Amino acid sequence: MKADEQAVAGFFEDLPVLALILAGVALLLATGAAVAGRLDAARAHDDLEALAHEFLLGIIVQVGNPENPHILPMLDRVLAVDIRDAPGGLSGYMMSMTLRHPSVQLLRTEATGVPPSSITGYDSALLNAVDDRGFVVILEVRVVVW
Amino acid sequence: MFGRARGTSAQLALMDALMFFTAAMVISAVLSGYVGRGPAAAGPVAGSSDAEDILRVFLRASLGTKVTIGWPHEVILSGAESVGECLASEASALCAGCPSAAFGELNACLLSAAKNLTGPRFCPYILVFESERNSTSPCIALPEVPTADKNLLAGSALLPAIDGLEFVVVLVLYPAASLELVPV
Repeated sequence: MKADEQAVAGFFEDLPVLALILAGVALLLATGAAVAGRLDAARAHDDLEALAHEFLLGIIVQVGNPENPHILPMLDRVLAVDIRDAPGGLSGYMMSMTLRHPSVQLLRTEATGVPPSSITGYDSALLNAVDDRGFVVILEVRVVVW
Repeated sequence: MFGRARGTSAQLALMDALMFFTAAMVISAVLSGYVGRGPAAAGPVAGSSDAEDILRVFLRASLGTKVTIGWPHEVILSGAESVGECLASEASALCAGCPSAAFGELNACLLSAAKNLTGPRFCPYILVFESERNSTSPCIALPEVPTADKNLLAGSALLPAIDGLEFVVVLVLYPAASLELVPV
């Protein structure tokens, strides 16, 4: 092909320039798309963590005595708490109550919804309760939401 | 002449394109590195507020098992006594000159309970200080005084006063990954 005297340097000499510029633009676009995806995933994870925290707070408020928070709940009442009022917007959740002291024992688990496939939110809390012997025990309540 | 001008222009254009590509690579690397430090790598899961929460429920809990104390004479605790009361009584007795060996069984029970609460991620240390003396040496150190580490977490609380003495209990959570594996 005849070199074009009006152009910068001719067709074949311009090819590497074009390739480098296209590669740079493609690299920026791909990075932008990847960063946007990661930020979306991080935001979704934060939202799920907030929902897990709200769910757990709801359970603790239910088992506690709002009129006198210094009175410990009975262990039977804690284990029998109704947890159907999960926050809206969740596909499913899993809740477990584990005795941590004086012995380690799984006391209750509940799960609903389709098992999670990607991002989940998690929260846990320790609380005291009184068992049937009158001893103050320690329970751990864990929730996983998706 | 025109050939030489075209060659120079081609080199300039190529240099500009190279600079643009290099700048694009640097920008992409910086953006990827910044976003790559996401919530999964944000830092430790537990914080010092968790150490205080653990300490709060731990002190209110009952011993849960019968424990024998060998001072001043053999005393059997029923297990209904709270952990906070037991720690305060032990600290008061140690300050009065009681041998620490008398509380061996109680200390083992308390340490075991603390380990059940903190799980495998942390090694718990329980320290009790006399609040009025402002001493840096604890009355009680279970299992021992921990070494300094930038990753350790701590929470403190005031124990019930006994015979006019007030004690402060500190729960130190030592990350299990920081401990060196010592061959037995």
